[in-house]
Amino acid sequence: MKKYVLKRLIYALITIFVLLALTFVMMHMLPGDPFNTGKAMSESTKQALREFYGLDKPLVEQFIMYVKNACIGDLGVSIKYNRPVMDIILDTFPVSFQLGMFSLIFAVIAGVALGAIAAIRRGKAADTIAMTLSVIGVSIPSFIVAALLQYFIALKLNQLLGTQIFAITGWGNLNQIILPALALSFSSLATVSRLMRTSMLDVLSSDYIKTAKAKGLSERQILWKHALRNAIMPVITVLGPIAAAVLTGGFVVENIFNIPGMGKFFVLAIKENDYTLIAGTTLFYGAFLIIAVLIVDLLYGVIDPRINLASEKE
Amino acid sequence: MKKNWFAKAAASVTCLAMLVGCGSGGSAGANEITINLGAEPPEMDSILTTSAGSMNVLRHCVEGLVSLDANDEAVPGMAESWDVSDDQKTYTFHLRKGAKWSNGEEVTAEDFVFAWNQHFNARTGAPYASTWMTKIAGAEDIFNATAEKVDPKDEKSDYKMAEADIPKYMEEHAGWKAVDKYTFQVTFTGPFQYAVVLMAFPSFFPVNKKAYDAAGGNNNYGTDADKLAYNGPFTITSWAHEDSIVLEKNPDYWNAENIKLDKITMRMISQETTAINEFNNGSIDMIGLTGDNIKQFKNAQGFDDGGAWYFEFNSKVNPFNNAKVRKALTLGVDAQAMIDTIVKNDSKVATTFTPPAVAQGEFTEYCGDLFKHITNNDYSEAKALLEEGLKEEGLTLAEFSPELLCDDSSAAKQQAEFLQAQLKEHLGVTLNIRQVTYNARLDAMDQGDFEIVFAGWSPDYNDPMTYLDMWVTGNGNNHGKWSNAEYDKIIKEASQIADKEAYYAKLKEAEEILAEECPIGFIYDRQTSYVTSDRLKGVIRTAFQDINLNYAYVEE
Repeated sequence: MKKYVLKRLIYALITIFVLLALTFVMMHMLPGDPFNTGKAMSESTKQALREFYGLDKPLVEQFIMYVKNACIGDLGVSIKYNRPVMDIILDTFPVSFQLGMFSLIFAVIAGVALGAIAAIRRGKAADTIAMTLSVIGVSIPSFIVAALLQYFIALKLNQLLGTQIFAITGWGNLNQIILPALALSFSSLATVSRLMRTSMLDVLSSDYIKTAKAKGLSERQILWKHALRNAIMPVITVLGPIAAAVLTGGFVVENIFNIPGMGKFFVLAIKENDYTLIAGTTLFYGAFLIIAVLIVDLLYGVIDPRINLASEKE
Repeated sequence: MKKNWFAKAAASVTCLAMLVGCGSGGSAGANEITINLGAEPPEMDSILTTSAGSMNVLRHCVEGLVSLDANDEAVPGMAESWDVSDDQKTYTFHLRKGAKWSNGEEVTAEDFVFAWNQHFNARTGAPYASTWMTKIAGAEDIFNATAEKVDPKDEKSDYKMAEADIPKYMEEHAGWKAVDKYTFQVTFTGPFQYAVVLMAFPSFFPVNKKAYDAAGGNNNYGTDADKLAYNGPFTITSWAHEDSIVLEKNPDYWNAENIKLDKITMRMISQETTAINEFNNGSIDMIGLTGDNIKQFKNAQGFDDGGAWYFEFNSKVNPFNNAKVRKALTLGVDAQAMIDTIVKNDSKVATTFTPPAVAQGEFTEYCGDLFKHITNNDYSEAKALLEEGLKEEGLTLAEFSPELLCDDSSAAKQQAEFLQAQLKEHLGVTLNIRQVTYNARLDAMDQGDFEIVFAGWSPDYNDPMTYLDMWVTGNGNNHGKWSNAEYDKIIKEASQIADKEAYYAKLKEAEEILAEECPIGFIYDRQTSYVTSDRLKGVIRTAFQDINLNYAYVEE
């Protein structure tokens, strides 16, 4: 097991290095100039700025410098904001992470419950309602959900009740977290519930459930002890991709609820040719996701003891 | 163990649930207001900044020699009074005694000298230096001397002037100096009408050296609330990046007794619909509006923001070197229709290149409508003119399909599509749209990599020259590289005319050349729309201040 983790970590490092190298090359190929303000500027001023940010050096030299500095946690200074990229990430990532985790937890709990109920009550009203909800969830993009929630739940409800229940914007309190987390979780919730329903149906018609029934176990015991635990396996496999989607895909929702998360920097840095910010956020997200996937893989082994990670051969 | 986990989880959920309902937001106290700034100000260093958002904040917490009133006229700021020399080139500003920085230092003439020295030192990398250095005596020499490299051909070689020699060179060459602690003198390169008003621009604000060094100097100063010294009506007490800036009344400000607001919160909400929701919720007192959102509010207001939008033609590319072609394409667009369908406020069809918000409208009034012949919607004439022009360049209408460069904002896209439809309908011209990011558009313009670009310009100072000197041969903002010797001569001569009447007469000649040659096609003079809550009064919004809340107040 230790050997396996070590091997995976080495692979992760190589992946991050390649990701960084590719990002570095590609971002410098982007059209546009980070120092262009729309007003004419002397070439000497541009030169002074390029020197300050180290952009006057050959790309390879810049890359080596960057990797060296990144190893000691220095991701350079954002060209647009003049603040250290590390400070920006440390300020904003926890916000995006909280938002992502909230919506992930919500998506999994609600999705599993909804899917399970739909499977148990197959063909009945509960099934139809749950599946209709999940179709809607898959087909409506999160920014529309976000805008609707903000308008109807935050603004209109406040106006109706004459008091502030949910905040329209901002971050920090639970009343600022619920709506954006809900909006962000909507499509993952739908995915989880559909997956859960299918897998639960599979399990419910399997032999060991029949055996359990034959043994005379109660309905509840069968569901909780046998069906749910087995049906949840496929859900765990999609947890990695879903976590990645909610943790990096918060930009639109963050934008609508004006949440000071990392999404904005990740997206706008590219438009603004803010090289240090592009490299820093990509590196950080990349490393984060690779490690998250590794953890999910390890978790998989914990939940299903039949899977022996260490003995896997490529 | 398992139970323990569960109990912890349950406890934390309960705690979080208790937080519901006690969120932030909601209307502020008696003398407190909240407005939407729209975006995070990238930095707040007056020496470096080019951002309109940063300047909006800076004007509330740092004060220059003068401030601007509701008509964009200069009123005393850090300077109580000023004298002008006979040749109208040298101004002596008498500073008020006892004005304080937030770090306890006194505001003196040295603070201005320090800021200006930093600004015009090419090694600081202040983008505005190249705009201002031609206006102020000695600035260009200083800029060039500090920029010069050992090997002029190799931009990577070392600077020629040693760092230690710069102060001495500055002292010898700068057209600005501290005559004594409370007297600051500056010499301009011409008898400029706008000299005093220019001193309200953030590039000319004072900076306290002690505070600057304490914050870490260049590229660090002004990046956080505690990395900045204040001498204005308000001080920044909190700067939550990407969320809000809180300004509180500065009790040490010389005119504090006339500042009525205790607190201004500036939010950074980039989504207009989100801002509208907050406004309707009563938690924001002023927001900006565009397009369809304007008519939602009966009490929406607007002001001429001094900006103009126009076609810029690349005169180095055939057939845009032909004035007839340029003129025809301008005439082929119904500018009023564009305002009505896309902009949807009281923006005006341009009558001169200089918008009326500049020079308090005096100049545009003096000129009258110089653009009648290119805004009269006579499309048959436009078409004839286009065919004639194309023929001169060896082209036919069928072969002519120009490319319009625009950025990828939804507003720019709408505008481009509208222009495309107009030219198709009126002239039978197929306009190809090339959409790139905003930064890439600016870059393409700088490289001359375009045929037509729909671009805007905002004035830097309150004088027609801020618009007209753009089209001088070799000016960095003249992206289409249009060149006209007569025009160059007029602009050069005008900058040395002290008499206002004669100055306007000269500049009118320049406007007439533009109207005839159309190096740029004129579309509209922009208005900015916004709405304020009923309780907020005394807001000043002008072309040269954008948002001024220094003397605003609350009336419940």
